[in-house]
Amino acid sequence: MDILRKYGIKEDQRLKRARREFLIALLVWLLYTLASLGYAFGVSGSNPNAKVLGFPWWFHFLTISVIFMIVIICVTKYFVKEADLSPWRSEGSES
Amino acid sequence: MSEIGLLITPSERLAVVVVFAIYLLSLVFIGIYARKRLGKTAIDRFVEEYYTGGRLLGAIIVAFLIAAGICSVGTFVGGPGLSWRLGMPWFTIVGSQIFMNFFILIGLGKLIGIVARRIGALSLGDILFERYDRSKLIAVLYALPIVIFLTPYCSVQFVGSSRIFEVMTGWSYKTALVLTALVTIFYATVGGIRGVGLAAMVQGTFMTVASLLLAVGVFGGALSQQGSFLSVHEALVKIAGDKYVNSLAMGPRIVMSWWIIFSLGVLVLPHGLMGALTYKDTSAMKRAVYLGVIVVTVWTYILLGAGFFGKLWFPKLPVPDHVIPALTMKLLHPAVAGIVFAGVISAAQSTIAAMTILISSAVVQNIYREIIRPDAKPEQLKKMSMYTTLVVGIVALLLALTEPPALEYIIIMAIGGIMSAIFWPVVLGFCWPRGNRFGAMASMIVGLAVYGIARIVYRPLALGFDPVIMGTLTSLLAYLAGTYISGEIPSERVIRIFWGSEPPKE
Repeated sequence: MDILRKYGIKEDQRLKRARREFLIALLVWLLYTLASLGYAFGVSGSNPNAKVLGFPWWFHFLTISVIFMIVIICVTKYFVKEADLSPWRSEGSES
Repeated sequence: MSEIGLLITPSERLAVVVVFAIYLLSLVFIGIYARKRLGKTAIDRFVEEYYTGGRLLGAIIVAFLIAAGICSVGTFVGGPGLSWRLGMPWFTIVGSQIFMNFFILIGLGKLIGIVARRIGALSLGDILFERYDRSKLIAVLYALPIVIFLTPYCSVQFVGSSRIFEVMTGWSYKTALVLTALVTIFYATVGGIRGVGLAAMVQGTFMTVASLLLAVGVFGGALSQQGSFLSVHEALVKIAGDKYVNSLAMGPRIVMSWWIIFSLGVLVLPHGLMGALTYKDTSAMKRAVYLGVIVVTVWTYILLGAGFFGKLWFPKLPVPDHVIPALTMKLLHPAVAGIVFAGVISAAQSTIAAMTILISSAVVQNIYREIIRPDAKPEQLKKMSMYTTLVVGIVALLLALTEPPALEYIIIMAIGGIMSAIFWPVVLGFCWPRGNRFGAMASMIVGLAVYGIARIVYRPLALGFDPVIMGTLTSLLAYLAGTYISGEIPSERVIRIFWGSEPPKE
């Protein structure tokens, strides 16, 4: 960020926010990856014929995906800010 | 394929063909309608309207543009083929792609939305070109992997859809290929992105209905045959052995590689990112995420699950990619089968259309306008846009006439190549002000080179992962090295456009 200071540029708050949302998206992705692959490798490593909650274990890939589908929808609904998309805004203030 | 084609009678085949003809006709009308909209556009806005729909597209179109653009015959034909063939090692990663709309629109969508409006960008290539101080080499390095990897990706779609068409109509592969291709090339060429988006909406609907019908046939069939999921599991193990239900049967490295390709790799697929250039406001963007995540989850689990369950009915198939058409023929009524086939071919056509538009924008915008003729007139650009879309479609069609095998592997190869080349230049370009053009150039060249070497020349370089992992890692190192060694700081103009709140003074 010293480059912005060097040029004396004030950061656009909408872009700053968008970058934070990108980080949140990556974080959700990481959790999903750990959950899915951790589950898959964990069960497969011990017993690929395991039963989980009355279903064959692989059925719960769907369960994990549905949980994260809901997480994605909630994150989008509550954390992602609506923004005005007009190219330049004089004050760089948040909408 | 003929052994499957013989499963239905001529009158049943007629039902399938009629349903399908209605679908094709509606696409032709969409092309004509979008053309009329384009006809009303002033000549100097034509190119923007053609490639971005004037940045005024609504939530549903954007959602399907991304979802149906990326979910291709990979999800509908090749992926189920691999589920059927490999079982759990492949099925483990199918969930990775449900992120696509979220990643593309929430990850990069808002950044692209604002920045693209500042510079009038029509493609990801325009954005990279501006970000890296209008370096011509960057424009070429972006367009190159797009043309190299997306053209075979595109032609795989033709192959997949013609295979299905062939079963349905009993016509030869080549007749089927040319007919499906002509309809797609027609509406993409004349209608631009709006035509493609409207068609994607119709296609997305067909894909969803097709999935649900297939779910009833396959999962309903499996449960009524076996009684419960647990007995399905036992039956599958009996047919295909323990390794069919073991995620680790092929080792963890290849599974992790696939997971990364179908989640992070999809993030930088330029034909997906087109969606980020077209939405009209952030509320449409958010709604496109909800809809996209839901439909992609539905398509993915039903189709890939059907392939996995396919072993119950087809322990042996000459070609794994035949599993979905085979199941459809065996388990569904012919008129219903017509809808499923239309859905599957929709998946292919929506991807072909999105890609031909994208490849054409890479050629026209990034090579022709930025390098060869910076002074090109709007009329010339208009002609160029349409002719290149046409040419790209035809080249992909000619490639498809060679009948390449194993759809999904070609798709993995293509996404991997694009990811190795442009993942870091895109992501760091948006997130790291220090990153400069030398970093981006080094990253693209090294990423592509390492990927190519590990894929074709010297496989051990990949260390047991898919070559994309080495390509992407070395591409990151090259980006950092290029940036720090050159020591150049991006110009004030770049920083103002990508970070600032006030326009550059010019």
